[in-house]
Amino acid sequence: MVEANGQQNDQSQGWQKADARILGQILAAQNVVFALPDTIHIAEFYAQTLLSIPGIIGCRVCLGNKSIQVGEMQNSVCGACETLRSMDEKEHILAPVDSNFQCNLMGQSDIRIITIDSYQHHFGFFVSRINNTAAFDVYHPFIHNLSSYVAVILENRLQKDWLQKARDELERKVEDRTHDLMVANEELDAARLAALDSVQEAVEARQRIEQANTDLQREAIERKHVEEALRASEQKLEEAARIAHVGYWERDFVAESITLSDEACQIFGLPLQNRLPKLAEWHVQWLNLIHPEDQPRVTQILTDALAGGPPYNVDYRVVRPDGEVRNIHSYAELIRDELGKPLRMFGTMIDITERKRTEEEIRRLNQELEQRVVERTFQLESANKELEAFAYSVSHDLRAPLRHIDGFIALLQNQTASVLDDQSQHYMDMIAESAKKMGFLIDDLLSFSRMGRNDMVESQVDLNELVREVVQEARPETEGRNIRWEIASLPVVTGDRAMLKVVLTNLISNALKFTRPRQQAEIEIGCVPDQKEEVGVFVRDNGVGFNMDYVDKLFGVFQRLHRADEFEGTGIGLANVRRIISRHGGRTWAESEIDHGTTIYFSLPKSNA
Amino acid sequence: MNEHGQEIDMGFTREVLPACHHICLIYDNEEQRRKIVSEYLAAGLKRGEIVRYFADTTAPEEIRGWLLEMGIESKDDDSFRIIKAEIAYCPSGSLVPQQVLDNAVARYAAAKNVGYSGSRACGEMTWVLRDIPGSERLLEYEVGLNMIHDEFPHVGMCQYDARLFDGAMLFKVLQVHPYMVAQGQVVRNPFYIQPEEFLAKLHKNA
Repeated sequence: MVEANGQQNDQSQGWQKADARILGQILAAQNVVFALPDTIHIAEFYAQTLLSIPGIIGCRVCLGNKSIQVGEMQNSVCGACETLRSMDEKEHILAPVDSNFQCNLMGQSDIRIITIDSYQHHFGFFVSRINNTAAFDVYHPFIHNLSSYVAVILENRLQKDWLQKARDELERKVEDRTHDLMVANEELDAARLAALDSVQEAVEARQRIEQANTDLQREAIERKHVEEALRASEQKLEEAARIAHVGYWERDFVAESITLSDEACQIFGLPLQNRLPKLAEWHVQWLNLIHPEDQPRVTQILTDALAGGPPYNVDYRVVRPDGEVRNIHSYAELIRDELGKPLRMFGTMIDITERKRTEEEIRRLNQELEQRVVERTFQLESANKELEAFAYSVSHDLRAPLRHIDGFIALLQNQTASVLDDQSQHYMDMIAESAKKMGFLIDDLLSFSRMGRNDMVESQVDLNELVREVVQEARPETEGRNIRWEIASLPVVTGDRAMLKVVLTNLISNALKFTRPRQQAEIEIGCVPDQKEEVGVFVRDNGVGFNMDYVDKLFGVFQRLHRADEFEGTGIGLANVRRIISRHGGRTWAESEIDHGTTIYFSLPKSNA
Repeated sequence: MNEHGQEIDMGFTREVLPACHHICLIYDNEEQRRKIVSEYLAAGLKRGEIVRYFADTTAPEEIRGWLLEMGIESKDDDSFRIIKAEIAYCPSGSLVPQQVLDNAVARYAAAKNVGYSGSRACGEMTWVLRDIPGSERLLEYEVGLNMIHDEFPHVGMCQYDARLFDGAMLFKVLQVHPYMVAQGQVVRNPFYIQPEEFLAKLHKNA
C-alpha cells in the first residue's frame, strides 16, 4: 500500500515534470493515428512523435514487417528480427502475444524498448535511443499508453480486416452457394415446369377423357332417350297406322329384302308374315295381287320412279287371295347412293276402297242431280215461256176489249152527260178512269213481257251519252225544280242500248219523283269503285227513301212501297230494270233509309263492259 | 467584415475560434470530410464573408450540390468562387509561397473595401502529391499564412487526405497548423510549432 502510494507519488511527480505540450502531442497523436490507414503511415507518424519527446534522440517503430527509423539510431540487424519475419501483413499472420519475441537491440544501455501488444497479438516495438534517462522516464508511461493505443487500433483493424475477410469469404460462399442454388433452382424450376407441363398435360388429358366420358354418357343417355322416343314414335306410328289403316313397306335393294307392316299385309289380304320372302319373290307375289287391268300402269309407274322419274304415287286395285277387290293408294320415296343407284324404297299404302265407293256414289248422285236440274230447268223454262206467252197473249188480247170499253165509255159520257145525275156521272168517270188505269197496267205488263221476250241487240253503249239523253228527255219534269246533278264519268259497256236506256230512264225518273218534296234535289250518278269482275253503276238521291224491311219487294212487278196518291206509277219500272239487267247477266240491289234518300245499283259483267 | 480579435463561427462545431485561424483537416472518409467542409463554407457565406474554395479532386458542381442540400444556392459571383487548386496555389505554374500569400492579402483587402465581413478559404491539398514545381515549399507557404495575422485576419482550412499523405508528412503538416480537426472536432494543435522555430528547423534540416 505504501509502495503503491509511493509509486503514485512518483508518478504524480513525473507528470508534474512533464511538458503539457508533449503530453498533448501524445494525446493528439492518438486521434491522428486513428485516421491513418496504413501501418507504415502509423509507424512514420509515431516515429516523428516519439522523436519530439524529450530524452529521445532516435527511435525506430517496428510494426509487423514495417520498420521506420528516425533520429540518431544505429543501424541494427532488424532483418533478423523474428517479429518482422513472422508477420505477413497481407495474410494477417501475426505472432501471438505470448511468442516472446525480442528486439535485437534489447540489452543496450541507451535503448528503451516498449512492445506493442494487444491482448491477442504481438505487433511490434517502439524502440527509443535515449540520451537523458531522467527526461525519458517522465514520458515512459505515456509512451507505453501510446503503444497500447496503437495496439488496440491495429488489433481492431486486424479484427475488422479479418471480419471483412470472413465476411467477404462468407459473401463469396453465399454468392457461390446462391449461384449453385440458382443453378439448382433453375434446374429445379425447369424440372418443375416440365413436371407441371406433364401434370398439366396429364390433367388436360384426364379432363379430356372425363369430358369424353361425360359426352359419351350424355350421348348414351341421349341415344337411349332418342331410341325410346323412336320406339315410342314407332309404336305411335304403328298405332296411328293401325287406326288409320295405313300400311308401310320397305324394299331394300341392297339386302334384297322386303318389309311389310301388319296393316300392309291386311290390306293385301295376306296372313301376317313372320318370315318375309326375298324381294324378287315378293315382287312376283305383289304383281299377282295387282288387278290385271292395273298391272301394266302400276309396273310402269314403279319402273319410272326407280329410273329417276316422277315419285311412286299410284292408285290401283288388288285382288285379294279370297277374290275380294280392294282399291289402294300407295306412295313411296326412294333413297339412292352417291351414284344414284337405288338403295331402299319406303312406301305407305292405304285401303281407299270405301273412299272410292263413296266417291263413286257421290259422282253418281251428282250426275243424277245434274240431270234433274237440267230437266227441271227445262221444265221451268218451258213453263216460263208458256207463262210469258200467256201473259203476252192475255195482255195483248185484253187490250182490244179494254179499248172498246174505254171508247164506249167516252161515247156514253158524251151522250149521257146531260141526262145523268152527278152520282151517275161520277160512276161513269170512275169506270173510265179504271179502264184507263187498266190500260196502263196492260201496257206495262206488255212492255215487261217484251223485255223478257225481245231479242237483245248488243252493241257498245256509252253510258255517259245515254245518261245525257235521259236527263235531257226528263227536262219537262225538272223545269222549275232546284236540282243539283252530280254525274261522274261512266264506262262504255256492251249491251242492248234501248234496254239500258229503259234502265237509266226508270232509275233517273224514280230519283226525280221521290225527291220532289225536297227544296233542293240532289241526284248523283256514278260508278261503284274497285269492282273486279263487273261494272257497277248507281243512281243516288236525297229523296224520301223507303224502309229497308221491304227491299225484297222493290224489284217485284207492280210492287209499290209508297201510296199512289203520294207518288204516281204502277210499280213496273224497277221490275223492268231487274229483268233487263238480269238478261245482261248482271244484278241489281238497293240501299235506302227513310227520309235520307235511296241508292239503286246495277252491275254488268265486265265481259259486257 | 470580421475584425481582428473577433471570434468566428466554424459551422461544423459549436466551438468559437479566434477571428484569425488556420486549420488542417486530416480525414480518411468522404462523408466526414463533406460534412465538415460544407458546413464550414456555409457558415462563411451566411456571415457575408468572401469565400473561396480551391478544388483539386472534387467537381465544382458537387461542392455547390453540398451547399444546395443545406439550403444555400451559391452563385458563381465574387462572394463565392470555386477555383482549381493548382491555379490558386500555383498561378505561375509552380508554388511560390510569397506570391500566393500576396494574392490572399490582396483578395482580403478588396473584399474589405466592398463590404464583405471577412475572408474564408478552403483548399484541397492533394495537388501537392503530383510533384508540381514548388510543391516542396508547401510547408513554407503554410507557415507564411501563420505569420500575416495583422494585415490578413484570415480564416483557412487545408484538407489533407490521410489515405494519401504519409505519416511523416502529416506530422509536419500538423506542425504548421495552429488548429486541427480530430474526429470531427476542432482542437488546438499540440504539434503546432511557432513559425519562426519551424522555419529555423526547416532551414537547419535543409
